Amino acid sequence: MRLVQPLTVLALLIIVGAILGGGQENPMDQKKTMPLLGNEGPLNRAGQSSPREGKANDLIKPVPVAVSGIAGGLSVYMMRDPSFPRFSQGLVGNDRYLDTRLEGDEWEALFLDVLRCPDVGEVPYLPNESSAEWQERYGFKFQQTIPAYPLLGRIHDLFIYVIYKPEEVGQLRDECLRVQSTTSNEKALATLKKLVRSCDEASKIGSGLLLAPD
Amino acid sequence: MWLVPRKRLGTFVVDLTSTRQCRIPQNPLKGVTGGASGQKDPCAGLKASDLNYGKERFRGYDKDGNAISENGIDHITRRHILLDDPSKGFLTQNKLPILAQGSSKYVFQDNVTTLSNAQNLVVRLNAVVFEAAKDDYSWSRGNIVMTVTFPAIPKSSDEFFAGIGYDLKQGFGTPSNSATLILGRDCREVITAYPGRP
Repeated sequence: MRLVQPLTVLALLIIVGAILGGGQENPMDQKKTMPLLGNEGPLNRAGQSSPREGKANDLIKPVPVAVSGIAGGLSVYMMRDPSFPRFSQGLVGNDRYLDTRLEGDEWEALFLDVLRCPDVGEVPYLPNESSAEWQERYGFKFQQTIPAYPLLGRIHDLFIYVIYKPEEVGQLRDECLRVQSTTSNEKALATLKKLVRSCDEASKIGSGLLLAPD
Repeated sequence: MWLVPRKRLGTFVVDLTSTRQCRIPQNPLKGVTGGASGQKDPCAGLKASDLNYGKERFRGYDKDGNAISENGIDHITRRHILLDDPSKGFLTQNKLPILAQGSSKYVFQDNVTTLSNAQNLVVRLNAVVFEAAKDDYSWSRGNIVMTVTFPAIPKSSDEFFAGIGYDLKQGFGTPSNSATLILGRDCREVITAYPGRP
């Protein structure tokens, strides 16, 4: 009995030590890393005979990753003069990223599930139609479906820029509030809340909004 | 050197979960305009050199109502190579973001000093992504989505090449080892590409 207790204590100490020792340096932890993109390493010029062919150094063995849901997202920026050329030159003054994004699943909840806008599969390509022509037709049909919400209707895709001038922000907010009152879809409500918050931020200093795609 | 905080090493471990799925036949009915079941695989027989970075694409309307047009390489450069303030250039291992960025950003080795070099490296990276995923991709609303994860590549006995860039959804604390390439339904038109997952 006398021996058991010290042994038990010792065992406990070892266990506790092992747990705390989790902080002990793992050899992997000591490794230094360098970004893959650079002139040194597997993507460098010398290591690749035909760069655009994708035949990189044999060391690169990427693993395809299964993805689900709608790809893409829109980042919300507040801009006093929201326009594509201005955005391309960089943000100035009070212009800034609002740390707000509309993700694919949120877009889906709001526009496809709640507002019942057509998804791309419901607007098939016409014979010989170019992708630009189709995009225009799809966007028109999308907006036609929600005539009461013309400003929300501009967000008909996740790979386009959407611009709201300062004088349109109030109307966008109003449209969001009206949709909010018609749905209990939590994801859509969260999305609308993000948009309303963005409108409020922009309105404080008379700015517009620019939604930029990934 | 770009030291990786110990606690964050986990992010460099390749996520092997669910990577064995064959995803071409997945084609969810929602959002499919190309590659629907029974149709020819648009990526079949294509090579990375077939990727078209120069095709102008409709990207919405500007404030005056004029259509915005942008090709793939310009879009990738504007949104994912250059910082939100383009005059600040791009991220390198010793030039990391101070202000929150509005999109995922690639990170380059310090030896990358020109924009054209950075663009070329992203094109090469995308070529590797394409070749790895052209038989194993997903559809999203009529577009082709290719995402891959790069295992860390040994540089020397105590150094690795790892990290593609920062995934906005994960934050700017730990670089992501994944890269995403999004193509039009023809499997050639480059819509966008960025570090991280869709």
